Amino acid sequence: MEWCTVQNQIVHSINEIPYRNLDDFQQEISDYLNRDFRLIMLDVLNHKEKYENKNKKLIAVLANDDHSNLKIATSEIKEDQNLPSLAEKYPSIAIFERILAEENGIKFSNHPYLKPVREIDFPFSYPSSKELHQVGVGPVHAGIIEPGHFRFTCEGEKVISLEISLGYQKRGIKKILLKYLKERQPLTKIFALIESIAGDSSIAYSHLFSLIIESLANIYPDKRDLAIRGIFSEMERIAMHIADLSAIANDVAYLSTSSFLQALRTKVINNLLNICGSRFGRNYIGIGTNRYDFDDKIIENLRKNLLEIRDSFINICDDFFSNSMIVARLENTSILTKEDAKLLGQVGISAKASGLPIDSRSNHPYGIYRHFPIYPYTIKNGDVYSRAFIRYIEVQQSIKFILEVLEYFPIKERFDWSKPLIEMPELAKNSFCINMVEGFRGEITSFVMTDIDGNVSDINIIDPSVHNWYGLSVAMKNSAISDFPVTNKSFNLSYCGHDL
Amino acid sequence: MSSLFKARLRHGYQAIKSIENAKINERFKGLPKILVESVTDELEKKLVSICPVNAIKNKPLSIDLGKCIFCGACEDFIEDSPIKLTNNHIMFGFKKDQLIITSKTDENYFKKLDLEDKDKNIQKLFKKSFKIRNVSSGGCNGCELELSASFNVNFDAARFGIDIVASPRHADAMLITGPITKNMKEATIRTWEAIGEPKICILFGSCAISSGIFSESEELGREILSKFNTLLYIPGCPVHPLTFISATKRLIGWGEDEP
Repeated sequence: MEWCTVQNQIVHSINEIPYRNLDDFQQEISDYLNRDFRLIMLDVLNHKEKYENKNKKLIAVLANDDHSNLKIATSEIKEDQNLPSLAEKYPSIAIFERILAEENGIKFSNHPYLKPVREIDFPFSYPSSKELHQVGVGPVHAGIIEPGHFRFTCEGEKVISLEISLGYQKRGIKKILLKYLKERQPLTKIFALIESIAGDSSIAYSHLFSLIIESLANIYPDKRDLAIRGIFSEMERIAMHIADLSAIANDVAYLSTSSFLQALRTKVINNLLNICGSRFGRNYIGIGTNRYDFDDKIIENLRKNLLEIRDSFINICDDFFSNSMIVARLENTSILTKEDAKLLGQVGISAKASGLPIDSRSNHPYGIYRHFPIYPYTIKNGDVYSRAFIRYIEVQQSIKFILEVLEYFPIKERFDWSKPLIEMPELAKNSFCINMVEGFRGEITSFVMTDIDGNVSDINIIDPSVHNWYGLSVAMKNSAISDFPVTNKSFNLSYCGHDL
Repeated sequence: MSSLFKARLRHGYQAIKSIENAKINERFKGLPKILVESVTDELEKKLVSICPVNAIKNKPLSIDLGKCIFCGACEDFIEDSPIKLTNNHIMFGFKKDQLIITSKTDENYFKKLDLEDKDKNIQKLFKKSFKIRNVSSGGCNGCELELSASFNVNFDAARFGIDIVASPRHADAMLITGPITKNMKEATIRTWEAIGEPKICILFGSCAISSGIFSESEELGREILSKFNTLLYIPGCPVHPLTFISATKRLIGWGEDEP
């Protein structure tokens, strides 16, 4: 096999990407998937120099988490050619094939269910038996959540299958983003858009975008700035994990924990507000450096508050996870087995709760995580309890990480940038780079390519939810329909990150 | 069990006592203050080019809060900037054009705003009980999180009779977050139709008011907004819970001296 080996954040020339003919390409993807690789991207390239005929250029990226490397290759498909689908054997590919069919009009010969990903009028599958009934929920839900439609096929209380229909949040972000990048719009504008891809992961997304531009423009920020980005990312993780635990407690009607955790989340995000003026850490991370530096007062307050938050958090969760009613309600609810999780290409929380140690902070380290590593914890059971408990562990881990970074907080050594860049810098020509960061849901992957003038010619952003939505369907199989709210909260997937 | 008591004791009482007088940290990016009446063409060019949402206009220098995403770029990246973002969280408009502020806008501007006489009956009806149905139509989940935070133990919007309900049949108002995507058009209209009269619409956040940073998106269907009886515009990106509560409370007729 002659696939190009690359790593997170490293820029390579486009000419290094090998071309495989279509049969070999498909065969080699399955070979890699049989080994310890997982598919993180399958897309059609939008790159003018390379193809002038009407053939479409496919590109695939696979990740090996044990060896921290990524494999990449391209292939070509003729306009009227059918692509043999791999989805039957490797379900993790299904979502990418559906996107290819929807966005690029590629035809598949034997795809099990080629439903468009972001189109809302597509009919649902109907049960064949009269013994079964269907329940439809959404797009407007009975709470303050984003829109999506869930169609349960049930036998009495038991869910036989769950079909999820998304696309209500489709704002066409990829198109706007590419336009802004091509026009070299001010970076303030691009960051504002990036931070709104998924507003709960603003920091993860702006962290990702800063890494993309810095690696393509060969900019090395100060270690202190990297440390601050790491602290912000972990603060976001702490806040959102606490919010998720609060929602889970609310759904099993344990309201004291739910209220305590809501108040605790306010304390966490108010720390972000005190530093950058936004409770979600928006408008802070920039190219070259971040908007404001930490002064001694901020560091001291942050340390003091985090110690307090840690004590309260452990106290609240001790009560929650040791309550036998809670354990009975959450344990063995909606199980996603390790085999299924691997087959479906799960990432983030649902992978870790099913025993797969997938975490780009340690598998494909970037930024400050190269100096202060974080190792993922896993639980084998894959039930709602595991997904809740893994959050409990990760919050403590993140607090420990921040305290450690603050302890050895790097001193500013380079003063190249006093303020983040506003103008788009010169980017490497005819190059590509793959970036991964770990948001609180899981890894966010991006693929960026530049043309011979150094303009961005293609960008693809993949939210962890793209991989994980199918996991929710599978976990709900054979569960009671009344388990859905708490299962949904335990996955807490993004609608807008998926719909873009 | 003992850990529950311990957690309750440690939790104490965390509600913010007065929504109006609450002071957010001075780093908070809230209501902008415009220091000069107008600026030179050169500075105008700089300000306009750096603003991600075209909220700034010159002669007189003004900011449209309905577009502003409070990123602070106009303050942080321009030397001697004529714009300062204060930590004042009270801002709203009963009409869209009330959100445009200039150097003449003083501290009492929002206190003096009032509903038109024909709309005043909603204050009689809704003051003690105001039930809201949220429709997220393309929102990034930032506004949704802040909206749900408004009902947590810290901000406690329910003390003013403001509440979120699960069904439009129980609601007095529809609250839209997000720029209204084509795919959410039908669901939004049907939610509006399911609410009984009298009903009003609230636009929450810069996306809902002016499509915000998604103004160049081709996937929006904002023409349906004209069908709704919109009475309240709450700026922010995302809206701070205190901004939401103080605005809604004013809409349904609570005075500023009431907690």
